[in-house]
Amino acid sequence: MKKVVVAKEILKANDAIARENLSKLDAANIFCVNLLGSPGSGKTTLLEKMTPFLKGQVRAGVIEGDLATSEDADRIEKVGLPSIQINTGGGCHLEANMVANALDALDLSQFDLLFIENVGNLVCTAGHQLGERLRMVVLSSAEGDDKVVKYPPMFQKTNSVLINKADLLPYTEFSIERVHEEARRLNPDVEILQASARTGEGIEEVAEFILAKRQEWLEAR
Amino acid sequence: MHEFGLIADMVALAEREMAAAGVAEPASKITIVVGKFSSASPEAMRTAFELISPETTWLQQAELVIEEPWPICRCLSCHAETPVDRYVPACPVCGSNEFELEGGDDLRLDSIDIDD
Repeated sequence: MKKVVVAKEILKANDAIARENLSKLDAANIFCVNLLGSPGSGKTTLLEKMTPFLKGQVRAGVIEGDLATSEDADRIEKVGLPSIQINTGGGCHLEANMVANALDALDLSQFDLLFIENVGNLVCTAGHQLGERLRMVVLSSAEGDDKVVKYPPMFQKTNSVLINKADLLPYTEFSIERVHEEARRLNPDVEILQASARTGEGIEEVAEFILAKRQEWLEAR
Repeated sequence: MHEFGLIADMVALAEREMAAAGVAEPASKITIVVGKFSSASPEAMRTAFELISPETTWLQQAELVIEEPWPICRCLSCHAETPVDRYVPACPVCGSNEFELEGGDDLRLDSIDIDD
């Protein structure tokens, strides 16, 4: 009997393309942020509201992932951020090759910071690297504080969590402490922020956090 | 997740590895690793395999073995390391809530067996 020992990741092909994306972004001095979270957690609103705090500091752009529409890309264009739409045609997450195509279509010399707004989904988006330097999971207070326990891989594989819709906290049973405690157990280095994209409270701090991460990356290169 | 696509990727990876190893005979066993925190369902992986394998000559006789490693609860109080199949609220050994959960996110093709 023969045995071929493989011991390789099944998503190796995706991860290899993600590494190519990362090299391409590095060569263009672009810091890339993968924005994840449920549908309705506030990812697009966050991008809209952060725009004024990014303008003048960095040239930012957005790769928008959606099933079929360009609703989100249209919203982003309205606030003056260049964006490119990827339609997954029903697929529930972005894959690295979709991002590779988007990068080919963009003039990378025009950007310092690129956001990838992933498809709204707390499950399989976690497993797919895209070429990002930073992951941020947007978790809104309206979704409930049990999401870390129910979707551990998402929180295990992120660098940061933004608790959004903080303005609704007084009307919900959401426990900030619970999310902090449970996310840290899965991921001792996770950084947790809090904001309300609707009211704008805390949004400047989120933008500053991302800019600081970009700065750290630039200095470490 | 999208277990059908994962199995298709796995088969493509297996074919590349077999070609690299100079092996062309049909497989008798494929061993994959699907961790509890991998976001993939072993049952759906098996269903996808059952659909794909009859269409793939070298897989027609192959058995799919799925290992499902669990994350480890590493207790910071009693230092026990306990495998757990889901997010636990406390260390199963001492009940402390000072712990970390590590691993269990494997999604891997481990090996291909070929009967001579």
